[in-house]
Amino acid sequence: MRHTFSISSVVVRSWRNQLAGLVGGSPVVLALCGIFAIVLLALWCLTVREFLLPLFGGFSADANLFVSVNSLLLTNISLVASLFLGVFLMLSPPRTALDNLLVVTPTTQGQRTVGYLLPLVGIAMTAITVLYAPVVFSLVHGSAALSTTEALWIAYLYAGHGLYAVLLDLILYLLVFALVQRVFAAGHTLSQLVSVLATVTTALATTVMSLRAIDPSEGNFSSHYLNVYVVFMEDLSSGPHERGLAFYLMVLAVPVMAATLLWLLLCLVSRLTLSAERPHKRAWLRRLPFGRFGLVAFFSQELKQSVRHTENQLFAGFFLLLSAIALATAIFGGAEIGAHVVGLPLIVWVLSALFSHNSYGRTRSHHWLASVSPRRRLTWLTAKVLANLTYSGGLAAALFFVLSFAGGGTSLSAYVATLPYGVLLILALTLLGTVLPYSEEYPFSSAFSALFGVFAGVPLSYVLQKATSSIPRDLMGLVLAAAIGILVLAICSADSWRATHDSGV
Amino acid sequence: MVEAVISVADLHKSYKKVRAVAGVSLEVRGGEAYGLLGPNGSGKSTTLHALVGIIRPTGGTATISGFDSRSLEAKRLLGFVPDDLGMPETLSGWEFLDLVRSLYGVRDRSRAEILTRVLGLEGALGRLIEEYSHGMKKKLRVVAALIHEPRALVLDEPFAGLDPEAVINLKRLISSEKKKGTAVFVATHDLLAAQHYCDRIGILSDGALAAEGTPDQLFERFGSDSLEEVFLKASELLERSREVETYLQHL
Repeated sequence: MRHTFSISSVVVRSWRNQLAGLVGGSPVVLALCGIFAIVLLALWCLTVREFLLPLFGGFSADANLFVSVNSLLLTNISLVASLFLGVFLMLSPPRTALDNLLVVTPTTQGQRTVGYLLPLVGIAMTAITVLYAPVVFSLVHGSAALSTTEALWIAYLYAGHGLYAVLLDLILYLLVFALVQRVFAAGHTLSQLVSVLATVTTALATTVMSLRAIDPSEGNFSSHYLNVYVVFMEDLSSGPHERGLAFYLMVLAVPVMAATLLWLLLCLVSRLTLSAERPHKRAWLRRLPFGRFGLVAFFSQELKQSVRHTENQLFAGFFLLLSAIALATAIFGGAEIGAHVVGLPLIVWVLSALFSHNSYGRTRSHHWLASVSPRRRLTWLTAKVLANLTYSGGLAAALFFVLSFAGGGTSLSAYVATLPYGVLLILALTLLGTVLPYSEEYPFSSAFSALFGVFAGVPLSYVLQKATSSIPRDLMGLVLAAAIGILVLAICSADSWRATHDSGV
Repeated sequence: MVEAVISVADLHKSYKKVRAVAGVSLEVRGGEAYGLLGPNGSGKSTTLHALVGIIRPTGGTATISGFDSRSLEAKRLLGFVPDDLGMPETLSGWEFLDLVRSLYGVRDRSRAEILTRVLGLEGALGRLIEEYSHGMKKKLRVVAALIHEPRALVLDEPFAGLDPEAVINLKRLISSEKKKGTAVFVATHDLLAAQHYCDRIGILSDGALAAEGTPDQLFERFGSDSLEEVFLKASELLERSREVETYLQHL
């Protein structure tokens, strides 16, 4: 156990260091964070006092309400667990990276696995305990229908459910991590980021589904994996006369057994997902030639690198998967995406154009190659922009094609009609990526740029669309060509500035 | 007298308040190997990067066969092997070499094939560069720098990270290029290699050239028959070296 705790302490120290790094060592910021945490907790206690206490007080009158509220609370525990896990997983060193470091030490695989997972389970359970202590307090003191013993049994079920949710989240995280590493040959940090996002997104999606399943007025609720223990709570609220020792033994045993089984499954998944090495990456567009001209050579290089970039592959794959789901829903469920999503062509263009943002930063480490080669900087830059237009434009075409079958209003003619706006978006994001380059070492930079792209790109496009709607149709082509010309000139200036800036003059 | 192929005159480079290179002037003639030595942070890589056009110098000039080193004419004549600059990791070895051939207008692949065999890289060229070790990447950079038969070959730490066989073959390769009349300019920490393979040696200290000459001239000037001692004296590190000796006795 000593080795296990030593490994756990490495994980905990990495959290402490990362948090210290975020705070920046300033006592003022630290104090502000503390005050913020206390205020949040106070708000939570106030919410419990104002809403839960009166709610629990009325349980004797309405058993259905009791079941619905508890179903809601259990679902909420799952969400809290995934959010805390997400944050602390991002603060932890990636498991594969840590394991690679520790594999030379006299520790077993089991010790390393448990040592890594234990602090994560601990921190999520601590968060649940802190956040749910006021709820338990409300149950003990506020509920007229429940005795203190019954309230404590419910608290036990909350804890059991918390552990259940945490372990499920960790299993999902490890599976996605392994999938991303093996299928896309992604690095440790990127795999970490994607798998945390997938875990939290799944928790959010299931929470939404759970909330939709609760119907207190009818007294029914769908039982699903996020509120399984509510079955026991229904019995606990129905009065002591119907329950015997067997019931209490079952309430005691089921969470323990479920947690034990899930822990074993987690260790198994952890072992299986760690064993294999990263695969050889597939070299897409291997046959694309470099040609005899500098422009073609740089274009070919840029396009190959765009297509093979792990992050680009992950996000392009994700967008295509979403489109395929929309298509399947339209075919089998009869629900057309166009009826639910307004301005789908614009959204598709914004998402596709986002890939242009990383084009400058992605190749920044080897810009020296263009500098020492006997080709003009302008040739290199033109090839880069053309490759961006090809990659993003091609992805947009694929998405338009798939979504056209899902009733998204994204036909071929819509693609052609919106193409100039798409070109503008791609150029604008290339410009942004030149001024504020993406960094390979910090995958968060692309998450930041994606957010920035969505928040800035969509309203900007809307404003542009509104502004251009007042321009006569005959002049529209001219205006778009002028806008494209201005953006091209801006990219050239930005590149020149960036080259000078990076050169340290 | 053979004409200078590489010529650096009064080269300066500063980063905000930090002076990296302060007035370096040197020449490398065709068929000559010039070794640039210096402690870490003395300005070796900065001098090389300014010479090949990766960074803009704050002052001074650098020319290749009389052409400004930033001009396309100069770049056609130049081959550069960086030490630890990045590579297009998602290209395969062959793709990288084909890209370089395209950029330099070299149609024939045979020279690239021979160079990769000399350095023992032929079996790895189908793999992506991201799967290469540090040494393999260095070998690939050497092949790429020599693919177009440059008149000026600039190498930054060419032997670092290479296995002994590759070091031997690279030294033979550099000698062979020298014999063909190529000017070789190499920045290195390998004093032994510099002593044996370089016709002239320059020692940089705090961004300025502290000493320059043939190995024999340097031995005579500093009164020593060891390049190690010459290096320490020229870079004013002799006193510190004696301090280290004292520390070691107390260990």
